[in-house]
Order: sequence, then structure tokens, then C-alpha cells
Amino acid sequence: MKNPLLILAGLAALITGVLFSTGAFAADAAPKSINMPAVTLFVVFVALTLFITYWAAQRTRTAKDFYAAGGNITGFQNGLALAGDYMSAASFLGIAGLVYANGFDGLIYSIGFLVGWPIMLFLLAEKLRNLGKYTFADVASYRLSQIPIRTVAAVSSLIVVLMYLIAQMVGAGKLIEVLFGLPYSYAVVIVGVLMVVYVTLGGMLATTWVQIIKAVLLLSGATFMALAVMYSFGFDFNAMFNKAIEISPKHEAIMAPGSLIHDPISAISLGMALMFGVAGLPHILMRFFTVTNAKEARRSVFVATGFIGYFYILTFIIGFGAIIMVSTNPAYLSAAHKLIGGDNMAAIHLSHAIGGNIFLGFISAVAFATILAVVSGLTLAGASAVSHDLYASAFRHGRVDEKTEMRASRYATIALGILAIILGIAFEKQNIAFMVGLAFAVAASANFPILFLAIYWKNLTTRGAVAGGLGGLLTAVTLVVLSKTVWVDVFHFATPIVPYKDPAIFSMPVAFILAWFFSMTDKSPRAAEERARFHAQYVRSETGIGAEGAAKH
Amino acid sequence: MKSDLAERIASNPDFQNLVRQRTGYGWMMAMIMIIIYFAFILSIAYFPSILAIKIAADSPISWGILIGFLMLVFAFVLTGLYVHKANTQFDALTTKIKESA
Repeated sequence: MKNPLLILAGLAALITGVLFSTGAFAADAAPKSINMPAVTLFVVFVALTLFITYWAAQRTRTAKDFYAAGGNITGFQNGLALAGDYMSAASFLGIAGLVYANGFDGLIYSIGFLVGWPIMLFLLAEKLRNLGKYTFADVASYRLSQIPIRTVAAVSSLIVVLMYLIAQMVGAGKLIEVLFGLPYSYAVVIVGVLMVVYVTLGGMLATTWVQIIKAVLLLSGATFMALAVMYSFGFDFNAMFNKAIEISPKHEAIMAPGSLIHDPISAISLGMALMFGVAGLPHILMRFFTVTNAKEARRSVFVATGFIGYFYILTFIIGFGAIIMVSTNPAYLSAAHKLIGGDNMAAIHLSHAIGGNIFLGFISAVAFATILAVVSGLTLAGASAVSHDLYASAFRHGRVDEKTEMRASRYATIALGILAIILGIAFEKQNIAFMVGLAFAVAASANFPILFLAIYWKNLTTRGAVAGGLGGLLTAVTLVVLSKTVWVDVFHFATPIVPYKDPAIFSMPVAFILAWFFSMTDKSPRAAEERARFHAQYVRSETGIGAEGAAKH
Repeated sequence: MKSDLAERIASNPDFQNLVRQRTGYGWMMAMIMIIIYFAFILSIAYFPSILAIKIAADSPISWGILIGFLMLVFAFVLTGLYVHKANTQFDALTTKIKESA
């Protein structure tokens, strides 16, 4: 990496060239013409993020810089970055689209996505910061046997990261096809190349600042849209809801629970995955090691919860705004009176209804920036699982110098980037609705139980943690594959084998029970040592004495 | 951490006090969030028609929408309460423990 500036300049030129020269391809790829304001704003965003990457590359020398941005991110900055990780294009366009189509039911998802954050703060955030270094596997394996624990944690982390990545890549490709008139595969390649550049050169520092800038842009854009909707009703919620009830084909039903949740088992299961999944997402957990101490870790969850909650209130207003301003306008509807591009385009069409082509361009560019920032965070988390947990700790038994480990993480980033591009293209025509749900289910059923028990339960042994983690992981994956979302929607069998779409109500107890059983029956000398080491871990987790400090810059 | 240092801190009454207070408070807050959230989810599954009732005769807003909004605000308020208590009470104890360690 001798000449990052040269690489970045070349890349910027290449992307600008591709984006501006696609007029020729647009005709056969998408009916829509190229949106110049969107392309221009997007190129400006990419140029800015590449400049940040160049700046970050010069400050990324050690492994601590690469994985944890030197440990110098403030609580407020980290809160914004966490919120940015969480406010993906799926949650912006997806929830606004859900509110547009179903009204109240969209709010149920928002609430589920938010309530995991307080749980993370009350039970894990500070202890995580006090015990960990770069990845959550550091915490899980603190007093347990390194190789088996890190291997299990890395495998389930990679599954979560890949599911999430594929969903984002496919979303990016489809979105860009509609917005920029760019062929699907081009979009996937651009996203893949840019994320590899951010992560390999700028590490966590670049990833964090890209995420912060995007979070500010997204929050500003969504605030403007919600204000514009409210302004047109003189800031009177009653007037807005009355109008939406009048216009919507579902009328009064949009103000009440609909068909999203019908049986209690599915309701609880979905709730469990959302509530405990947050505390098992590797790219979220990794951010707790970028702040100076437990106090800043705490503050970052407070800031993140505030911004995410505020953002969900905005998306709710945006969804209702789209019912009123978009659903009756023939310009946004296809011949079959459906929204052009599907319900997920509700927020995008609303931006055009509010601010014409310029604001449409802004929101489109922000949506693309959102995808870029989120995939970068995911890729860094996946690469860390490979280089820090699998390669350096499990494969080389910790006997590896920093330079080699960092080189491994960069190769892992490039490999993940190539894999993400290939999978993104392979899954173009597949039904990928199950992927984010599966990612949350695995996070809640494998990562969360191991992490939680390792911190809180003295008697957990390596054998128990491995059994619990693998049991939760396999149960979650198996149940999702046998449920309607994969068995019927992807494999096209007539009926699902498992009647419930969400596995967490079964897979979480499986993980905890297996971990309990195989720990309690573990009478080996190693298990005795692991239990004896709990005491010192406990004191450090509570006080932070001996915790990884901030880098001395 | 050296085990003798860990022993010394663990036997410090301030440490035991901190752990008792913070663990109790953290679990209480977590249980409040969990109970309220699952009560909300189960009421959607069992009593959707109650959540569809309007908050006032002349209002288009249903109880479901109002409670939903309050849940978003409530989650944030709970984190704020915890952070406030931790910044004032728990951190003071932690500093005291570190100084005497």
C-alpha cells in the first residue's frame, strides 16, 4: 500500500467514467433515463469518502488502528456510527415501504429493531468494552480455550455478515438499476470495489467516518422529508392521518394491527430475534472497541438509541406522506396501479414529489451512500473474524506479528469483497427476503448466548460454549431452511415443513440448554481452570481495571 | 489481571456495593424493557381490535399508534436514565475502587 493516493485517484476516475458513460447501456438495462443530479451528488460523496480514506490510511499503522480506529473514537461519534450501521437502506426504504403498504404494521418492525439497544446497554456494553480488544470473540474466549471458541464465533459471525452482505448487495443493484439506469452487475461491482478500498486502506477509521457522514446525510434528508409532509398539513397529525385513511385502499385498517403478526408463537419468536439479535451482530459489537472506555461505550449506545428512534419516527411519517402524496399520482404508478419499482420505492418517489429531480437525486445518492457505508462495516467485521480470530488466534496460536495479521486482514477483505460481488450477482433473481431475518436469528441464537454466558455465568466451559453456539446456529439455520421463506419461496416446494417463519423461540433455548448441560457435565481439569479464571474476569468486567486503553497518539 | 489484585478488589466493600447496585439496576431496567415489549407484541397477537380503538371519538389516531410512538420514546428514555445513574453514582464508586486498588 505504498501509494494509496494514486490508487484512490485512479479508482475515482474509473467510477466517474463508468457512471457518466452508461447512457449507452441504460437503454437495454432500465427504462428510466440517467438522473444527473443523483449521479453528480453520488460522485461527490464518493470523492469525499475516498479523501477520508486517504486521510485514514496515513493514520492506520498498527492492528489497533486497523481494527479499532486506535481506540480514539468519542462516544458521540461512535453513537452516530452505530446508528449509521443500523440505518441501512433496508431499514430506510424497507420500513417506509412497509408503512406505505400496511400503515401501523410498519411501526411494529421499527419498535422491534429499537428495543434491542437498551438491552445491550443494560447488560453488555460496558462489560464488552472492559473485556475486549478487537472482536467479540476476544470477550467470549477471555477465560475459555481460544481455538474452539474463536472458530465457532468466527463461523457464526461470517454467516451473519454474509447474509447481511448479500441482502445489501442485491438491494444496491436493484436500487441503482432503477435510480441511475445502470446495469445491475455494474452497481454490484462498484459497491464491492469501493468497500474493499475503504476497508483495506483506511480500516476502522475510514469505515467509521464514512458511516458518520452517511448517518448525518440520511438523518438530514429524512428530517427534511418528514418536515415537508408535516408542513403540507400545517403540522397537524390529525389532518395527516385523516387524509391517509381517506386515500389508502385499506382505509381505517392502516391505523390498526394487520396481518403481519397473527399467532403468538411467531410474534414472540420475531420479537426475541430482534431484541437479542442486536447484541449478537458482529459489526455492531466491534464498534464498542473503538471508544476509550466503558463510559464512552455507554454514551455511544445512548446516542445511537436516540438517533435510531428518531429515524424510525421519521420513516413512519415518510410512509404516511407517501400514501398521501405518491399513491394517487399516476406519474409514480405502473399500468397495474402499483408503485413503480415496488413498495420499497415509496420514500424515493416521495422525495421527487417533495423536491423534484434535485431532491430525488439527493435522496437517491444518500440511499446508495447508505448501502456503501453499511457493507464496509460488515466487510470489516467479517475480515476481522477471519484474520484476528481464525488466522492469528486459532490457526497461528497467537504467534504472529502485527504486520502479518494486518496483511491477512487485508487479503480477507479482498476475498470477502470478491465473494460479495459473486454472491450479489448470483442472487439477483432469488427471493432474499429471509436473509436479514436469518442474520438476526443466528446472531440471537449463537453469538448472543455465548457472549452473555461467558460474561455472566461462572460455570460456562469451553465444551458448553461450543455445544451451545453450534446448537443454536444449526437449529436457527435448519428451521429457517424448512420454513416457508426458504422451503416454499426459494425451493418452490408446495408446503413448508416448519410452520413458523422465525426460529428464535426454539433456537435460543436450544443454545442456552446445550451450553448449560455440556458445561455442568464437564468435569475435565480444563473446565476447572476455566471456572477458576472467572473471578479475575469478573473483577475486570465490572471495574475496567486492566482493560485495553486508548492508543497513545 | 493478577489474581491477588483481583482478590483484593473483590473483597473491597465498595466493589461489592457497586456490583450489587449496578447489577440490580441493570437487570431491573432490562426486565422493564423486555416485559413492556413482549406485552406490546402479545397484545398485537391476541387483542388487535383493542389497539385499533381510537384515543378520542374525533381523533383518527388509534391506541396502537400512540403506544407504538411511546415505545420508541420510552426505549430512549430508559437508556438516558441508566446513563445518568451510571455517570453520577456508579462511576464515582468505580473511581474510588480504582484509587484504593
